[in-house]
Amino acid sequence: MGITNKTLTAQSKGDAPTARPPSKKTAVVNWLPLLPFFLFAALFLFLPSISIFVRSFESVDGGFTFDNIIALFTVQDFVNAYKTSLTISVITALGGAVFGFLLAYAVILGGLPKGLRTFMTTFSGVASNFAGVPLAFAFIATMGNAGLVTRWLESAFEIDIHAGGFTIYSITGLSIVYMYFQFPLMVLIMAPALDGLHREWNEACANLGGTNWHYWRYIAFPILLPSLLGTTILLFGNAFGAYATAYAFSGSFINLVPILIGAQMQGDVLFNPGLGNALALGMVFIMGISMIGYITLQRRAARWLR
Amino acid sequence: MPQLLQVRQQYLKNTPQDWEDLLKPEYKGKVAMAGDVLKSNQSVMTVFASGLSRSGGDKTKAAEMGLQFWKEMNDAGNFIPVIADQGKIAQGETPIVLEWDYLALANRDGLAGNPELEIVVPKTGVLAGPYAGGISAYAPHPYAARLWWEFVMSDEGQLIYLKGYAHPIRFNDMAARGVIPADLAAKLPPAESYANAVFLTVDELQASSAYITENWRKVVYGE
Repeated sequence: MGITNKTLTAQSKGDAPTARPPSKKTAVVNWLPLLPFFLFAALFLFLPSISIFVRSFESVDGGFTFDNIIALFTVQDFVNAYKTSLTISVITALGGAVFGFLLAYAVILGGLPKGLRTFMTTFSGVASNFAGVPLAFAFIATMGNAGLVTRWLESAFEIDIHAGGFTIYSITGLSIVYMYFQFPLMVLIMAPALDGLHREWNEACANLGGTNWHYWRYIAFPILLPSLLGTTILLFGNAFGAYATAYAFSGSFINLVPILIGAQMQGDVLFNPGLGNALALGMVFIMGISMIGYITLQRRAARWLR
Repeated sequence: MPQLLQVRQQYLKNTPQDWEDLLKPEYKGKVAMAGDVLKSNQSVMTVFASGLSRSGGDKTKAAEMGLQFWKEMNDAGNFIPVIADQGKIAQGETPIVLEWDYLALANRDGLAGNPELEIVVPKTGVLAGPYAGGISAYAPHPYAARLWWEFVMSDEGQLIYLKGYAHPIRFNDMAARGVIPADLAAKLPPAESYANAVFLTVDELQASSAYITENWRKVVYGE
């Protein structure tokens, strides 16, 4: 965006009769504001990615090896971990997207009192950032074996939530925990998008004889589709990379990739940073593919907007 | 040389006294470890100690039998995978915690009766987690270092460790000679429970640790 703007200014200057070609000095000055961006990208995006790539081929004694990469495909634990990580991320991303969208719809367009909307956006802002150890502990303290809600149900209604074999220390339980930061993020991002739907569009549609279904199918939904897709991918990444929450919740009980990486890097039992990096490389690869998928879909979805 | 112990809270009707007790249905959803087997050596040694109890002290079979023990624990639903730190112990999520005695005793003191914790040394499968010290060959004053170790190994030096709840290597001998002050002994589990503590060599430690971490997921979670 910045680059295009700069080029445009340079060109419009060039159109003026008295203008001289931009000197080297102005070119440098024009690029200067971008420096923080490049610095940030280099330090926090490119350097770590390169380091992950290079160190994936490092053996325990520091030599070069393909073993780590091969292990990703041959060791059953690792294959299972990718499957579990993908399952939990897709489920909570879709669940969060649907639930969050409906919630945002209810708050923005559902004709609810104005105060509720402020409350909801504030809550979403806080909850979407509530993750890690505090979130895990909050769920353990409310729904765990000795949790407040568990005990209350037991004493007040004599309901034992564990009677049917349910335990929060399971994939279902962890999904519920993840949903707590997934759906508020969806609300937070979808609220402005829903605000952007002009009332006139609905009216125009009605004037032309369209039903509510027509309005959503041909007008509102296509407009919202890019942000819906984008946020769902964001939620996917949000869950895919979550480590502290899952680890504080149930240790390595649920076999997730970030937890496997943690076990190779920290602690006093396993230690193979090369393998940890290779596992991370696999995650970068999956995120890359989902980003490419997202960009392609969004291009198609937003084609008519241009 | 701390050993594996348990912590108990007021939620339990009976205090478990040995490893096999933990498999009883009354402890469903109540048994936790203080660390993660794939990340913490303490928990690897928890698995080993439970196996040691089963194998009747046979160190060669302990790793395998320990995994079997935890498989039964997990299948029975007694094992909760949450990592039992002081907060979870205080909150009551983890009524029974398996950890080194010095950490358990420190938790008891740290929580100061809220809730009351009971520290139990299991009857069988008492395992020592030794720490080693050394003198650098390049030390500028190697003889001063030797003098230091003389002091550490003396009754006086050993008691300093015991005050921090780390059972020193000469603990059994000192208990037999009655040189442990009564007020300090009162804070510790009975000295007899440490008499049969099992020590592992470095090779045994490494081999069992590798075996347990490699097979933990496969055997215990059946993946």
